[in-house]
Amino acid sequence: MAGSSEGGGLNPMHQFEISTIAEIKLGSIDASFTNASLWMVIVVASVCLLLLLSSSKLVPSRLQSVGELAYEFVANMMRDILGDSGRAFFPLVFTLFMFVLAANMWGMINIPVLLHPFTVTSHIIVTFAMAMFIFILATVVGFVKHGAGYLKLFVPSGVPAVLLPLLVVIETISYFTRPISLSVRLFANMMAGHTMLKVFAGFVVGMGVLGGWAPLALMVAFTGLEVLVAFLQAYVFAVLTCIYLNDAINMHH
Amino acid sequence: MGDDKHPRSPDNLKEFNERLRHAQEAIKEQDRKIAGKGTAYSLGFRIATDLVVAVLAGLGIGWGLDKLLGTSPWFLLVFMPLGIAAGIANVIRVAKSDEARRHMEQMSSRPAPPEEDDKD
Repeated sequence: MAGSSEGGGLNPMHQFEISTIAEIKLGSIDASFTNASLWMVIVVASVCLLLLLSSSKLVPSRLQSVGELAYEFVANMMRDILGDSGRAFFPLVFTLFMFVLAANMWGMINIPVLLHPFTVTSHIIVTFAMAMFIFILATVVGFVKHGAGYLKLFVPSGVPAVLLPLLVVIETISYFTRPISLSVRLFANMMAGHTMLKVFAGFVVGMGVLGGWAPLALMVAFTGLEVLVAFLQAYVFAVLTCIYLNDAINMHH
Repeated sequence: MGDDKHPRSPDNLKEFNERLRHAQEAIKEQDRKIAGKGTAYSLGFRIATDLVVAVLAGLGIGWGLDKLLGTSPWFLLVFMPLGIAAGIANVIRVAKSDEARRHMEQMSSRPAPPEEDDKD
C-alpha cells in the first residue's frame, strides 16, 4: 500500500494529516491550499458536475435520475419536518446535504497512486464550522421571525414557578450544545469509521498471507457498513438542520 | 401504447386514476419502510450524542469557570448535574418527536418477532 512508502507506515491516523500543497499567506494568517482544500474543491466540483452536466430530458439519463432522486429526497424530508414554511431554506439544506454526502462518499473511494484519500468531514473544524453556521442562522431567523418572543423557547410551559429558573438554565445549556452535538456526531462517525478500517487494514498486512484473510473479510463488511454510515450521517445532518430551522420558524416546542 | 385495446371512455379513465393512486400509495409505503431501517440507527445515534455532548458541555463549563475564577470545585459541582439534566432533557425531546413516534408505530405494526426466551 502507498502508506508505508510515504513515511506513514501503518499508522491509522496518517490519513487525517493535513499537508500543504501551495503556500498562501494572508498577513499572519496561514491560508495555504492544503489537501483538505483540494478535496473540498473535488467534492463541490463533483456535485456541480452531477447537477449541471446532466441535460434535463423528459426521460432522464442515469446521471440525471441520480440528481433528481437527491432533489426529491431532500424536498420530501423538508416537507415532512418543516412543512411549506421552510421552502426558502431548501437551497441551504440541499447544499449542505450534498456537500456532506459527497465528502463522506469521496472518503470511501481510494485512488491509490494519484491522490491520497481524505475525508473532509472527518475533521471537526469543518463540521463545526458548518454546525456553527446553521446554529447562528437558526438563531437569527428565530429572532427575526418572533422578536424577543423567541426567548420563550427557553421557558418550558406548564412548569411550577419554583422549578422554572433551573429549567431555563437546563434549556439554555441544551440549546447551546446543539452545534457541538451536530458537529461531533458527523466528525466522530467519519473519523472512527476510517480509523477502524485502517486498523483492520493493518491487521491484514500484519497477519500475512495465511491469517490475513479473516480481517480482510471483516473489512469488506465494515466497508459496506461505512458506506451506509456515510449516507446516514449526511441524512442526519440535513434532518437536524431542518429541525433546528423548524424550531426557529414555527417555535412549537 | 399503439396496441391499446381499450376505448378511452371517462369510466376507464376513472378506473385508471384509481389504480394510479393505489400504486403511488404502495410505493410511498414501501419507501417509508426502507427508510425506517436506516433512520432507526441514525435516531439512536442522535440520542446517544445528544446525551453525551450535553453532559460533557456541563463538565466543560463548570471546569472552565473554576479554572477562570479559582473556585474549584464548586462550579463543576453545579454545572455537571445541570449538563446531565440537559442531556436527559434532550433525550426526552427526541423520544417525544414525530420521527420517534413514526418509528414506534412502525415497530408495533410490524409482525411480531419470533419468540425469544427471556431469562429476566
